[in-house]
Amino acid sequence: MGFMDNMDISASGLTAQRMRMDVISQNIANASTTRTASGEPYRRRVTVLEQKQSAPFSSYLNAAGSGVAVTQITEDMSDFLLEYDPEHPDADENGYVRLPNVDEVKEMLDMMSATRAYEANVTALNATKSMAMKALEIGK
Amino acid sequence: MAGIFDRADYLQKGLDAAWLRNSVISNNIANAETPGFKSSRVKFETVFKQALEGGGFQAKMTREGHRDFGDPTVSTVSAQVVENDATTMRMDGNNVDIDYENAELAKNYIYYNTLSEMLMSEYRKIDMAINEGK
Repeated sequence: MGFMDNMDISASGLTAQRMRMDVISQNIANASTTRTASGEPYRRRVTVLEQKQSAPFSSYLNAAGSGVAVTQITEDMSDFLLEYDPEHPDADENGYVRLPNVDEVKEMLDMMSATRAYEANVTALNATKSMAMKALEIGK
Repeated sequence: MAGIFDRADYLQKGLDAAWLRNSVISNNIANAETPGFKSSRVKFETVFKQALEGGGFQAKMTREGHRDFGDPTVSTVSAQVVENDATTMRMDGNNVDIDYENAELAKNYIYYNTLSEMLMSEYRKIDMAINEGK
């Protein structure tokens, strides 16, 4: 257990939540993108969070853990939404346009939970920082 | 006879435990959104109290190479990380209660500061004794 390990744990949480925020922003920005490189409409992306594993041996030495990491960003394979809009250049022969499977309300909720989680990590980081500063006063 | 630094050593053990607890709480908070993650706790006060009161089971070591498998004594006791895998808070198996973790974090912060204040005053007292109260 190193002196600065606590801060690394909180920092990993901050990084992961920021990455989540980036992906949510990307989803919202592309909520009506009907064309991508693959020819399909934009697919909603999802971040996958995973607990960072400490080295096997150190886990026997009462280690607290080593934080969190974004291990992959996957695509949400649910169906695209259909909207009747015959004038749209990407409409099919029946006049339907395929729109991305992004639900703005869901993205907003995810954004709020990412914000709160980020704030919680900032609080933990500040507590660690103050404790470390307090420890430096011992022996003064 | 009690040594001059005994009290300081006890406080130091408490500080170590509080630092570890901070680390464990930080890890719980960082993994508050990780599917399947189970939160951990630090067990220290109860084991330390037991060690202070003495008693318990003690293994006698008569030869070099013998292993101590008895209950911890004051000099060997240390904080333990215990995973709580009995509960589930959400559908994805995660059991981090963020409000609880925040409360624990604040509590632990005050506990740590209290212990370091006590350690500081302990060292001041020793200093005073060395300098004949001057």
